[in-house]
Amino acid sequence: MLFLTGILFLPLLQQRLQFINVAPLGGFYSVPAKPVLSKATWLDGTFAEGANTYFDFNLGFRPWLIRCRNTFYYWVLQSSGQYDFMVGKHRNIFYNNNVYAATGKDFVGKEFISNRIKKLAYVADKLSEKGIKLFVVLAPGKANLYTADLPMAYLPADSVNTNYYWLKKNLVANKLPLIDFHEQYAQLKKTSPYPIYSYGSLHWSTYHYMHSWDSILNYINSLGGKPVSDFVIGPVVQSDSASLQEMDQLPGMNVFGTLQKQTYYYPKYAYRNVPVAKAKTLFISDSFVLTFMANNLTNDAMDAQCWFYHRDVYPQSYTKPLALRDINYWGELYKQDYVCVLMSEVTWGEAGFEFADKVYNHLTDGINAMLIEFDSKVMSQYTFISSDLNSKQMITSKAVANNISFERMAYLDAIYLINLDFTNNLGADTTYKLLFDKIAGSKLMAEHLAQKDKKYALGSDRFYVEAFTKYVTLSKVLPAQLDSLLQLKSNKPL
Amino acid sequence: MIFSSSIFLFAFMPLFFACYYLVRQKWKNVVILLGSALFYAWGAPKFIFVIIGTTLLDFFLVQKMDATKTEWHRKILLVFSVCINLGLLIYFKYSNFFIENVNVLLAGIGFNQIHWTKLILPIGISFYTFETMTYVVDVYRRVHKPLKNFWEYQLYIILFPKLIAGPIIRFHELADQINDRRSTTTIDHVLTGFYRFVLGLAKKVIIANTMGMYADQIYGLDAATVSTLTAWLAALAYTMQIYFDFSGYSDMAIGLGKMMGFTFPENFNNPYTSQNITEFWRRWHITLGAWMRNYLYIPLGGNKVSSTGRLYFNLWLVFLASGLWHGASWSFIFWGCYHGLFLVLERAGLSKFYNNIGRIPSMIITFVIVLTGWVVFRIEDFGVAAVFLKKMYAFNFNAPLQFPVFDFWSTLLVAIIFSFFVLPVKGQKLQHRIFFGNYTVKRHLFMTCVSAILLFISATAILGSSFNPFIYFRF
Repeated sequence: MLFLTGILFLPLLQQRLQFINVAPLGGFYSVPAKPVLSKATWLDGTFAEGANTYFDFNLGFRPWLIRCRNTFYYWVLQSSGQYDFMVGKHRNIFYNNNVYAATGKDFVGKEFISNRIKKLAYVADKLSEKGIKLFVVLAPGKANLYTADLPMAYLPADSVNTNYYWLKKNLVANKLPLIDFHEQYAQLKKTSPYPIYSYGSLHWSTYHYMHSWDSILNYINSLGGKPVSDFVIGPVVQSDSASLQEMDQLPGMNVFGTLQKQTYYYPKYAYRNVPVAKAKTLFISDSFVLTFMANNLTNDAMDAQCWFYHRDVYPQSYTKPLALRDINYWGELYKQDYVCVLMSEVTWGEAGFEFADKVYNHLTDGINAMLIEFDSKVMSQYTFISSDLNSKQMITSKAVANNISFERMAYLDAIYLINLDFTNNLGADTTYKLLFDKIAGSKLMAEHLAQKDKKYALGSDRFYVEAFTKYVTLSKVLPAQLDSLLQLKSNKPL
Repeated sequence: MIFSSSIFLFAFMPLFFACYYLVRQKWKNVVILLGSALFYAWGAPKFIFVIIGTTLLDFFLVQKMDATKTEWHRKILLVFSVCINLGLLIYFKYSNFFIENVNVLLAGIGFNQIHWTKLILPIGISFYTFETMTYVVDVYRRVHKPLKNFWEYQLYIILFPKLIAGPIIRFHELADQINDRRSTTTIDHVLTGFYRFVLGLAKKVIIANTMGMYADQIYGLDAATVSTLTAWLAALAYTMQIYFDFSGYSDMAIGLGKMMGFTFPENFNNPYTSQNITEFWRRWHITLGAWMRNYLYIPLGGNKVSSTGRLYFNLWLVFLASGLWHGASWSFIFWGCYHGLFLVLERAGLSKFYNNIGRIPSMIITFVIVLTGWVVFRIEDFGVAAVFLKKMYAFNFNAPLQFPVFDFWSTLLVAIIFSFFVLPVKGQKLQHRIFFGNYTVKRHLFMTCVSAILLFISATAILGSSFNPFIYFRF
């Protein structure tokens, strides 16, 4: 009897004594805080909840047990066993959002894309007047290119109901300079000996990110602005061993050993005609640009920085990112020679990220523009939580419990989440309290809320005003500037 | 705390059993009491006082009832105790539902709605309320003498293996074991209890959770977009989820009880092999069925009633109550009535039809009836449930199957095999040998290996399902 008990004690003993060295898990995850026991936390159940999570996270042998499970799932069940990604045929790994893009599940609607791209075109024109050349790059989509490998029962969407279709259509209609690698590689895939994507990677293969980089540099030079270096791809080395680029999912998969094997191709490369003064290039992008930066391709060609998801700033040195709100946004933007908006399969629906909204609004007018920008943030959150399966269920039950519509509940939740995010970002700054009364009492806000009221029955919801005021504060508007901003009228070209 | 959590499995359980096995006989019940209080208070600390309060009142009412000679006086005390227990259950479990419906009615006729702060349901209240009632009624019926010591009664109520999700154990089934379990505290008993616990854990975390994940995904979709095949698959997934979840929990409870020397009644007996709904209810949640029969159906007159109409009404009423017991919502009431309807139909002649068509066809029909009932049980919203049922019975097989992947199919196959495992006689024999047979050393060794493997797989599933790294974040 005590033997059985002893077996169950083993993980606890390992947790305390660490008598076997077990490597920690890969991937990024938050580490739960040690729960604090007090009468209040015990009675409201938060201590138990925190203790469960903390215990779970720190349990001995946990990384090893999870690796065992994931290895079994990957090799035997042909599944990742994890929430964020799936394993398809040939054990080809897909990020869930890539599959949702290919199946049209993430379609944000043609109006949203059309509106954003119109704004982006306006921004491109205005930046061009300042000598800054903006162009768009569409990276190839793994799930769209490898539809035959999609996990069982996921069928490609009717092409019209996808973000890609409407994005491309609007980019062309608005005559935005464009490199469409997705279309090019869909053709190239039929003849190229090199795979566009490796089985274990979410990002383009080494050969193809170099090929793309070459194309981007040539394109920049064709725009007739400040030149960038020429990139030359040399002989290609064939290998059975995968670099991290080719298997960027390996750490997060947490399997023993490696993933499905295939042949990998590693080209040699060199730069020519390196200019003395490097052209400043800003990438507004998702992770695909980081493959250039992380592999030191940008250093010799230009002075690059990436505004990752229009949220974090990765400088050329590619060390620790900064938050976008911490830099001189307009100063940095207007210093650039080129702005490249690069979107991949999972961000086609972002249609230029919030960059398009923010710069467009800045170029048009003041507080009204901020309201539009703020609403766009709320709508992004709204779109996300109303399409996410878990959130959807939660919202439905809350809507039923509060006897309000799903749309209203989702809208209120979106504001709540935005408010929470702003509150965290504000830290100890209480400037927003100085702005709140003015904004809440303004005619502009009253009219805006009345308009919202028709759709979301927002009423005199102070929460919306509070969240918006925090947003204004985060945008570094001072109480003294607010009066003049509140006087401005909208004068939009759209 | 739940059995399938790491904190229970790797902290509470070993610590509890280490204490339990190391203390002397006379302290074992104290360890159980303290362990059970900690187990319950861990997740719902406030409600431990509700249990202690009601059991204290019940205990003294029953003492008084036993000491009273006058029959009417005994009856008054019985009614008083039943009212208190049922009253609390109704208050906590049904008042939200009642007020919601009254508000809908008031809104419909243009009156102001009643303001009401929603109540949180104390965990396990449906189970322990029924158990307190069996104590009162069993003593009233003189089936068993009342317990002399309040803490022994408290132990019967909050005994942690069966506190949260049953089995519902009638007082007289456990009364003698509270004071003396020496004959059942053998190594054989403990080991078979451990095997049973691990088997239940595996049923819950390996099968039920996987089935549940896919059922949730499909039922989370817009019902209008779901194909016939997908709707059937969701219903099948939920059918397997609820069985392996609930029967797995019962196995764990029975196993834990055995590890302490208790013998709990069985709660499931391969219900999906039933050949009619009457049989299904003899195999599904057996202890609830027994409770309903003994404490509701028989007092209503049972089979010995004046007319067939009254018999049907009683049957139907019992199943309506059974549906309501599962939860405060119209869908549970409907589900209870749905099962009641088939019971009545079987009494009225459907059973003869089943007998005529043979074992396998009647089993398939019964399975489909049960599966259809689970759709309403799972979805709760009548409108959405109706759309799913419409999709299922449209038999439009042109639209493709959505979602499920390989791990779903493999788990579903395992679930189906174990649901119908006892159909062949060999399967029945094997099940009997595992659960109730005598164990030789060789068999113990074999079952220890099987349990170790299942425990290992279950632990990986428990820990793995809570680990979701943000893979994409690193880019």
